[in-house]
Amino acid sequence: MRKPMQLVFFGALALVLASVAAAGDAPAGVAPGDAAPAFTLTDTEGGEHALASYLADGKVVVLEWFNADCPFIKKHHLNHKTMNETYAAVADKGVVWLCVCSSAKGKQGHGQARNRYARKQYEMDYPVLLDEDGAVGRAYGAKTTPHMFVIAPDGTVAYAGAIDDDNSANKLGATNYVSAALAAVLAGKAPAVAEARPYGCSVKYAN
Amino acid sequence: MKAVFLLLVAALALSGCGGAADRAPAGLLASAADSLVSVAVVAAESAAVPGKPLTLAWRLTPAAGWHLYGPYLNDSGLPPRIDLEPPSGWTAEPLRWPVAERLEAPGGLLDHVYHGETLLLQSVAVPADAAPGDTVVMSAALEWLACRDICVLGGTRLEFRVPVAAHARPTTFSTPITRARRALPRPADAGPDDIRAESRDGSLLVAVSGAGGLEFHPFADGAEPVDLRAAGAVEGDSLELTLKKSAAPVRGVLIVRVADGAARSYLIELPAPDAGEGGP
Repeated sequence: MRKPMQLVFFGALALVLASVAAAGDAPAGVAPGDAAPAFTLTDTEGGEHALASYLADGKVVVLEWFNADCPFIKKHHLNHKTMNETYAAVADKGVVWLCVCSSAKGKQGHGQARNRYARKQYEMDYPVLLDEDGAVGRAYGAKTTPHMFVIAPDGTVAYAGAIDDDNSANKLGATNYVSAALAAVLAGKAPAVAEARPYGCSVKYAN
Repeated sequence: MKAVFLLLVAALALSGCGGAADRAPAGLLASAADSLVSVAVVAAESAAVPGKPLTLAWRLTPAAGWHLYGPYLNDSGLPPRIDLEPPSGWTAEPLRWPVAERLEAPGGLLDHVYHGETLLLQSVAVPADAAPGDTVVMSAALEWLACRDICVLGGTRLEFRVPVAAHARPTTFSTPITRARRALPRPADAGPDDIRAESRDGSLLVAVSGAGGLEFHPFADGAEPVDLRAAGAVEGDSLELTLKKSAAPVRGVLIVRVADGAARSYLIELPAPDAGEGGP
């Protein structure tokens, strides 16, 4: 009995190691239609967030890659209230908004203290999840802050990309892609625009 | 310490006494700096000549270790924005960007960036009826994102005067501007290299006989390669990039490395990929 179990264990371990090695530095990334990679992360206040349990509850999940000190995060959280307003419009419609900070230790925007303060500074009614080793960021292929993902209740990625269509540091775009994607998903439809090139600061992954 | 203090006083006196313009090198029209990036607008000619182009250069110099972004397909960042407001009847031509460097970052990211002094050239068409003896005032809004391991936004407004004259002399900036112009990418058929480039079956195929290495830097508004980081820079004389399906033409800069370590750059413009992977 022991040997087969051991084999299964080492077989599984080898598979995990192989997939990590194959991933290398290039993130796998997700595109619209893909299954959203599962994760469980802890937020700045110690709360745990498992994607699977939100989906099991029938929620639509928005992920926003976040770095409090990035000028493009300031554009949408400080100069404009894009993220707060986009969330407020759907907060009572079964939408969960999760910011994810994949800044590595020692890099811009990293850590519990900075992000706890950011939530106050930017009056955020939603959590910031800490992804210090960048594993979740790499699984999603998050490139910029912000980089947005809308996940439908069936666990597929409905939208991936920019928050809007103006990549400047100050001006808001004419189209908020996430608002549009949320409206479609909440109506049981596929978003008209499911992908748009994200813009912002690079996610500050570990070297 | 004392010497440093005296130098500081001297520098303050110079900048504060209003004599700075007199002492500025000919051709330096205006400048500004924050702690990370210094910017200046310089001219190749001492005056604007009616009916002839005036050559300006925007000189951006990020601090050591910091970079600015080129107008290419980047995973992050933002190229500098320069909005020049010429006088009525004068026309500012588009900026001409120098060749950038590929910069790979953790997480599979790829950007095309500038380190050190960078000259962006811009021609201004001077109307034939501009009057010699006049002086025109121009202003420009500049905005840039400088990054190292962190990103900082900067910006300024520059206002400057340009005299109009029947004849102009080269300024001290004429040589570096000429050098920058010569280093700009040239049309694919205008250089010594034998370049074959085509967009076929959703791919960009480039072959350059005798090349030691090739790089393709696509412009941000052109068709998008599927995996630019892995396939956008190669050893040898041929390069193949799979393109996403797109209505946008294939546009970018091809860099050809030759045997002695030198590199030449060319503009590539090809029709939109007719088929390809993924959607826009």
